[in-house]
Amino acid sequence: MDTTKAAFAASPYQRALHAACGNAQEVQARALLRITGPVEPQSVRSAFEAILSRHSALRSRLSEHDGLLVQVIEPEPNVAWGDGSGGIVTAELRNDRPEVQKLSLRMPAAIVDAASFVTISRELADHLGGRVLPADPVQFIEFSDWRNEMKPGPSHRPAAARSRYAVHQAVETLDPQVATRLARIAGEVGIDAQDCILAAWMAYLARAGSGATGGIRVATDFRSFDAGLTGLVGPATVYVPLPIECNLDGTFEQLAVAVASARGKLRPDDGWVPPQGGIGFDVDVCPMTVHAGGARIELTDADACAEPLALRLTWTPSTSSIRLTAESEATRTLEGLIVLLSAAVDSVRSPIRTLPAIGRRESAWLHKVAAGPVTPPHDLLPARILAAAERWPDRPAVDDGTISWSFSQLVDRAHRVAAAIDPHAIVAVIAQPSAFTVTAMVGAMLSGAAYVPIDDGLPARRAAQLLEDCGASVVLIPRAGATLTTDLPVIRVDELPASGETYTPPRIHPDDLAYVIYTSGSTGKPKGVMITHGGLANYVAFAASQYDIEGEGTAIVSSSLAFDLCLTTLMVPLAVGRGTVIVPPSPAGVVEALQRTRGDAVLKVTPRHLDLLATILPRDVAAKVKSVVIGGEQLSTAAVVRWRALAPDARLFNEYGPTETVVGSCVYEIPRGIPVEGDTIPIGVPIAGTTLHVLDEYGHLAPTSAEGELHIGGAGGARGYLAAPGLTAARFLPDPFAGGGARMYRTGDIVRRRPDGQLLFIGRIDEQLKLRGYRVEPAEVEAVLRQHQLVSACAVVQSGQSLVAFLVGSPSVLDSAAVARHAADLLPDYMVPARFVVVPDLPVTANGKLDRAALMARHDAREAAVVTLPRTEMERLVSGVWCDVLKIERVDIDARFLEIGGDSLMIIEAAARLQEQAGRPVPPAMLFEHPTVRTLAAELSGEGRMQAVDLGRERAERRAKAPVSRRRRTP
Amino acid sequence: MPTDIKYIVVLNDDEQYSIWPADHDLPAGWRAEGTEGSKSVCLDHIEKVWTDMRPASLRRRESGST
Repeated sequence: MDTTKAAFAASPYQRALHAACGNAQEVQARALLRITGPVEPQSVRSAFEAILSRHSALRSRLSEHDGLLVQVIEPEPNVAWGDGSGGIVTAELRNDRPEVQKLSLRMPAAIVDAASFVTISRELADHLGGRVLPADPVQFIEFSDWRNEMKPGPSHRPAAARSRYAVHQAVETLDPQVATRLARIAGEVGIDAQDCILAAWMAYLARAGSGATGGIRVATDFRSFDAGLTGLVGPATVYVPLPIECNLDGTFEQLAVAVASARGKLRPDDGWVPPQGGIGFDVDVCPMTVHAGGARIELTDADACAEPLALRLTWTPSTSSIRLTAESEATRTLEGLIVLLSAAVDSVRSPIRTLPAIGRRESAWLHKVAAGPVTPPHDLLPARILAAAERWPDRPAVDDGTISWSFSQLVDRAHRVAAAIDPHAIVAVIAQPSAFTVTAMVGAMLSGAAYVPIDDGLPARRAAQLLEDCGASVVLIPRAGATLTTDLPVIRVDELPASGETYTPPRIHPDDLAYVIYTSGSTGKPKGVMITHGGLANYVAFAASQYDIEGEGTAIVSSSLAFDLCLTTLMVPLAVGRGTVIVPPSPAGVVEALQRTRGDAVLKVTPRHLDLLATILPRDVAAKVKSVVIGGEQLSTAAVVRWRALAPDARLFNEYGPTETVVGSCVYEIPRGIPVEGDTIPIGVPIAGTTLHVLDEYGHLAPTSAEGELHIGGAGGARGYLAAPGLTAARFLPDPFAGGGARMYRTGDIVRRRPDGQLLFIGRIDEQLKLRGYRVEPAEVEAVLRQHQLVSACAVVQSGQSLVAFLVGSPSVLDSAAVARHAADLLPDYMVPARFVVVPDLPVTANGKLDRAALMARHDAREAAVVTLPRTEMERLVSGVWCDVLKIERVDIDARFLEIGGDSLMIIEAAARLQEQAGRPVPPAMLFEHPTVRTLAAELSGEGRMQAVDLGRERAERRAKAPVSRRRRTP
Repeated sequence: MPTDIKYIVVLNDDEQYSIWPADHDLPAGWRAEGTEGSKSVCLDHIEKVWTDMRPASLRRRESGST
């Protein structure tokens, strides 16, 4: 044997491991051997060292040389006995009882595998038994050479970042009955028990949604395929993906048979290791026993896996036990797997979808994290506003830029409204951005009536429909300027006296309605969500304390008062004696309000408002913002990153909640610091008095990490949809977790619960869309389009931040401009499709449903063919900004900004970004005047006619200042 | 969602209606109304019979106070 170190190329698998995770060599394999019999410890030590001398792998270290990963073989055994350090191998020999010694081994998992420990045990027995070992065993460096010839591949890639390794282990032995059934089933269908376990593992992962994407990686040993490798010591076992998917509708028996067949075809492949997070399966080599003269050697534990698997299941056939090695908590997963396995062996012909997958511990934990804190009943909002006025009569209550009222002034006026309407009535309030609107809403609530806010920018026919549907007895018009025409009695709020006789409000009960808010309906017409005072009070109490609204300062409302998004900064402050500032829904309004603010400000915004404000707010103004509550739509990390850079001290809350359960049902406070780009921001954990259960399609709790539909129970639940009992019954279901006849709201939102309890929003179960923070049911838009005599069939699809309507017909007959005008007459601005395309037919999927993806793809392909792409540097710059702001892939340089989904907020954002990137002033008006990439780029390059800009600017600025909702598209 | 599931019409003490899979145990506080069938059969039935959506306790209180 050589007496100097020698270097050999590492095996392809070792190289793949090294390339996938920089710390692969630090992962330790372990083994435990029990030696029973009259054996001297010294004999064990020297026998073990003799084994190290026989096998090059056990004397190897992996290191990089000239960009190549090599195994450096040391000439002598390098073993640290006891606690010693520095050896390649660490070994410890303990005497528990006379005649029983335990040899515990540790070494890098990258130089060994479980089968190697079997050879080590056998050879140890041979040594101790005085048998002569066959000379010249097969060496790992020979194996490596052979593999390297087969897998030359790229010789080296730089090691990837360090990987996380699974460190948590849990072991369970199967119930003897389950084990017996398992063996019987395997016998009946002619497969191995390990295939049943592997099938259960696959089924569990599919049920638990942990996503066995790319297949479970099954340990496969080169030795099984080449007799010449018998006795090889070294890493010759690799984890190979099992190329089948679990069909949840199939049976356990079918899956087990498929698994057995697929596993039978697996061949080791050593060229690739995924960097992080795979799922593995292997079969334990333990326990195994060999005899050596009068001694017995048992290998009781052997575990060697150098791959960065997030979860690895090990099956021990001889003891019918399963061991789970996991990155995080292993016990609950293992328990769930056993629940599934136990059910599966009882009903091998049931669909996997129906098998339970949650154990006792998991179930207890899921219930714990599903419930928000329990709080005593809260005072109702009207009582709280009255109490605040009593306590702080002179504090500013409402400010809309024109009017500024103290709490006592607000309440005096609200009393006049209350005195003018019937208790328990339903009253419509035209939601102008005005202090009088607040008076109307508060007055209605004081009287025990429910208010129905109607956006003042709605088309007249739409507003009339809502008024008719809600059965309002009276319409409160806050001040002049509303364009509504109605036959209902009207009260002009600003014309009521400012004060008058003492009004004694009736007693209000938590079950009484506070407001009814309309939201898009999938049945083709909007639905009115009836919110109770009890539900509202629960949210108000939560929001006041969570969002720092308690105490002096202002809260700014910058969204339409017709949606519940505004309530966080409109009604919550009034409940706790803080002022609310109403600004027209434009970012400039927020900037101005903040400039006027003394003290802290709280904002409630949608993600796109947040983005926009981050672009335009001066740093010193942004510093006044203490808290920002973000709601209405999925929040992107990029927006948070931008805000943090601008105002690092502001607290940011991601709030989630459908209108049906009062504004917000869960919240996530984004931790200080800059979040990692690309990370998803959770929607958080339930607010007080609220439960959030993630259920599968059968109404069972979904396991941790599995996707499921969010069901919201607790105090916030609405009474239902106004005059729509069927619709109500379909969405408000019996709450099986609460008992007492309670209901829960079925959201239609797909979420999953992280192992830390935080919920992540994934998407919708149906077609509902979010456009600029608004909920839109394409079916409602389609129903309106179909009302037009020229339209028989149509489909509405989202494209960026706008809708595209596809009308079936012939372009010569179908006047799409007429249909567009019809839509604009009946739908709120954000629901009016930005484009109308006439198509010969609508593609359908195999099961007869509209294939929206295919429809959009067809459209995209047609569009792409006629699009003129940017040609100059400036056109590319402008086009890049447009695509970012409009969230689209490409833009035709002749397309007009407002016709491809842009609105006035986006114009402001695009202008701000262009200004930054082009390095010259870009007023928003310039985008109105030069509405295409071509013309805007020409202007920015100095080719435009300055005079035209000046002439157009005044008109354009006037339009930009108008509230968003007021602006109508001319198709 | 499996579409061939049978549902039953249920109601609670507040006489609020809802639907529930026929083969699941009924949650505490709910009783079967007697109608069974597809989802749409149950919802259509509820659309007809649930004429006052106020909770029964509120209805009683309001009729007592007037």
